Amino acid sequence: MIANGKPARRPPTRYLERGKRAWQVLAAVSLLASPALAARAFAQDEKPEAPSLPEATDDQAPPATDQFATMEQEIAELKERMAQSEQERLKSVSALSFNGYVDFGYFAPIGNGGVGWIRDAGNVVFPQYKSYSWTFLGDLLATPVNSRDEVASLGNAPGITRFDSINSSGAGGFVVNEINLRPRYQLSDNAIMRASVNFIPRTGSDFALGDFIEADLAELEYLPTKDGKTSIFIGKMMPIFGIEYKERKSDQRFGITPSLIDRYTTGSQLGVKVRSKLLDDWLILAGAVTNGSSTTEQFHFYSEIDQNWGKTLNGRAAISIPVGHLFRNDDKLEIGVSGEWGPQDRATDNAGKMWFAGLDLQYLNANFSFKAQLIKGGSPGEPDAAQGVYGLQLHPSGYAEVDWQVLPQFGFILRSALRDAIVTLGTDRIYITKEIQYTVGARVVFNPHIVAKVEYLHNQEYGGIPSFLDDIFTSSLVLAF
Amino acid sequence: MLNEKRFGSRFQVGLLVVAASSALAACGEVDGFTPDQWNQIKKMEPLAGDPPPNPFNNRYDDANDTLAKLGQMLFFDKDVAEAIKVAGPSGNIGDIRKVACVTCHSTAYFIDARPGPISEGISYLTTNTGDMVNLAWYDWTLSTGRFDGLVEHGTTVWGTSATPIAQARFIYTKYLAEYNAAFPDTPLDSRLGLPTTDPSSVYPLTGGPKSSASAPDGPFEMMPQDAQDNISQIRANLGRLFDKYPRKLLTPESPFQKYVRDRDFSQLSPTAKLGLGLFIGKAACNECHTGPTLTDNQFHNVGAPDLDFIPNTTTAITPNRGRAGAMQAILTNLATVQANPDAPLIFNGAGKYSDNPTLGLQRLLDVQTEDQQHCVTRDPKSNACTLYDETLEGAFRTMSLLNVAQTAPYFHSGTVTSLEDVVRQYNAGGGPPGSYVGTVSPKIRPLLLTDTEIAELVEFLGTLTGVSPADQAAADPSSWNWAANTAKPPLPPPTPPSP
Repeated sequence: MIANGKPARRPPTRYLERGKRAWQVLAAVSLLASPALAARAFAQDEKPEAPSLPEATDDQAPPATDQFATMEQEIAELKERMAQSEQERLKSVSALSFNGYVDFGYFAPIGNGGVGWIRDAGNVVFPQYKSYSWTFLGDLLATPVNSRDEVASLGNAPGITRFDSINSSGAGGFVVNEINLRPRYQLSDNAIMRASVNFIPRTGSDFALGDFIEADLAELEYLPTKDGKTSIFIGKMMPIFGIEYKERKSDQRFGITPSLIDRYTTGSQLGVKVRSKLLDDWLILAGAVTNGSSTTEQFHFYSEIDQNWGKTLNGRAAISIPVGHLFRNDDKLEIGVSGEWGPQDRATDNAGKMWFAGLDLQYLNANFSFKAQLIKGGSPGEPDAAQGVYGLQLHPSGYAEVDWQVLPQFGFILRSALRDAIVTLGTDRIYITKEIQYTVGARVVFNPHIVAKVEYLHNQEYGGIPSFLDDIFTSSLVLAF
Repeated sequence: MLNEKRFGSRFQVGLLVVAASSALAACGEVDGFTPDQWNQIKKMEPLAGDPPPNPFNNRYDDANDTLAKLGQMLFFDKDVAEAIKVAGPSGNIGDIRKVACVTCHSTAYFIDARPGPISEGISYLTTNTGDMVNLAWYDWTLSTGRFDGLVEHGTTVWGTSATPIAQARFIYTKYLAEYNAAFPDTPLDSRLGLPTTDPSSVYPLTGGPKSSASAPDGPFEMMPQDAQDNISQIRANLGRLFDKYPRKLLTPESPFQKYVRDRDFSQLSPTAKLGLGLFIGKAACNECHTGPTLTDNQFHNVGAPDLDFIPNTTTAITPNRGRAGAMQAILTNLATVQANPDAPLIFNGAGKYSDNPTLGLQRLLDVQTEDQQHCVTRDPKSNACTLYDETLEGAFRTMSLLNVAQTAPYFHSGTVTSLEDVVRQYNAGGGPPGSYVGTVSPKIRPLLLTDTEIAELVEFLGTLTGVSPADQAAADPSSWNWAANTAKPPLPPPTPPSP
């Protein structure tokens, strides 16, 4: 992941292994930079990181032995000052900190009223599905306007009343996508409380406000080991499936909109999670027991509170290869596999099982990253639509994305995503998606706190689904604190 | 940080992007409808294209409208009617010459103007009388699709007034010249004019084929074979007349037709346009109501309540199985024609009188396939299907919505009297469970329409009313008035029997 042109994840231990001189320089600079360190934003899923530093080289070694004693003395003084300063800092810095952002945007749906689907009226296109009340073609979430995956319009589908939070009716307009507040409290040396709350201003009706509040994170992170490489999370936490969840918030996302498969992998989960880095960080293992799947809340499957006794088992294993000097220092190649299995969401029994399996790959460089993810899954659903348990046939779907921060102030994103899925609700509704989405976008970094982004998404149906224009242009101004 | 000039130029670029994207957003829209929506609307263009010809009745040239005009005369002529069997709106028991086709098709849109859910000829029918306009687009006739077209229907429809033999005698008495001009190859048998007291007479005054093969022979079967064949030929020709005439009854130029065809967007009020949006959107009416007459010509169980009793009587009406009930009659005809392609009493497209028996047979074979696919339970003796699955049991043909605001009461049973109530019934996902045969189709589910949306839909449905045949003639006096009563003057009253 790249945030503001810098890799967000770097193994801190690497810096400690680069020899004495490097450590000396680190100590000196740390002393000077300690106030900035204190204010550094935490990374939600990672431990706080060391700041980015230039590497020491042999050229910087002191040349003469007669100066050694002087240098030793200076270093000793620096150590003492650093220790004193650290003590002062710890006394002055509150254990409570806040981060967050305001995300403001303008979007313009292009075609089909901002709706990502059409109805196969009379089952002209797919007569084999005429036993369903209504057949929908396309993708409900093909026209996102922001990182929340809110779409320009959910359309006016029969037999259902949806909360259409944007409901633009195909018109372009300005929108406050999200106001996010992330409190963090250091409960002890090895325990941290985190939360993330979203405030979303939307249109009200009949004298009622439409604004709503969403708590998408409420967790305790406990680090049981001294090396800090193992974490145990409890509460409402980020999922572990794949890689896209790491950048689900708009201040973390290089572009604006999520991929077509984010709905399956980026939803918060309630439960217990353990994550550990092993073998000198080459191996990353994570596992969780949660109420439900990692689907997003506004999609068909999510259930915050379980209505069945069975729990969902989640796991991910990844190999993180420090590619090193292939392009630049700190380049990293990570390949992971993920899986989920458990009772289907929203079901009142444990009979039907929902599962996902995925493969992910990411190459992370300071200014460039390539990310790709593949997922497959399924869920039988319930035959009685009144139970509200959707069925899913998720055929291999995924995305590939290139993020390139060409200049410190300018970067661009290219992404191609594919979703091949059938979603059903009893015999009432069937959604047939065979969609390829092309995304091109750019970002301008005014400073670390102000980032402007634009994106154009082109949706292309395939597999017999009539092509229709349902593109979208969207933009975002993220003001982070 | 940016200086003001650079920020200003980027801001301008941003504005341009906003403007351009806004312009793109509306591209392809037609009167506020997206291209996909407009495509759906275009499929609903009323009466688009020429009326499909009847493949079973193309022997005679339509240029001089001879058949249609004779059909029109007979349509209005009540002299054919025999005695009324049940007292009701048609008259008292024993009254004669009170009923014609027009009795139950009396309004400008050819429905029954008399109150009540179902109609009475000389006796009560068990279903609501449908309209009689724009019928050329239907594949099957009547709400159950009992007949494979207007011809087969026309061979029996006069039975609401008289028996086949009585019909034949009536035509001979009153329309001999017109009939023989229309059907020069099969003129009327002169013996039809003979009184039964004449030694040469072979035709009784009334009667028709017995109702089943196992029934004892009646007056019809007692006639010589050539006389029986003559009666059958007359019935077949009547079918042609009652196919050609209704085909003339069209209702063009509805506001909605002009809206779609001419893109005259002033034809629909803003409310009606909202209703149209619902029709193809949230209400999804066009799942079934699409095409030139807003019907898919398919059969669906929409949960329309049956009528329990004949009005004002204690006579129960058998629960209507709809298409399932019609299937057996169709398959019986198929078996008959397969056993004997020249079977004299088969008047459908597969029969000897058809102009395209091959096609007619294929359509019946399709029904047979449907029967095999959907039958759940069969009578072990007759092999007749006694229970079909949910696709056929209680299913009725999707009715045309053209002129629907003028054709109350609604559904096969006529139990719903207002268009708003029709929409409300669909909004509820059909009528009360148990009030109809079978299981409601998956196409019928609660729609969650608000009262406002129901009103919008009803307003849109009102725009489907075209110009009636009578109004067309009034607007163009030089044209033939297909709604006019062209029947010959009434016959003198029958001579009372001698004391």
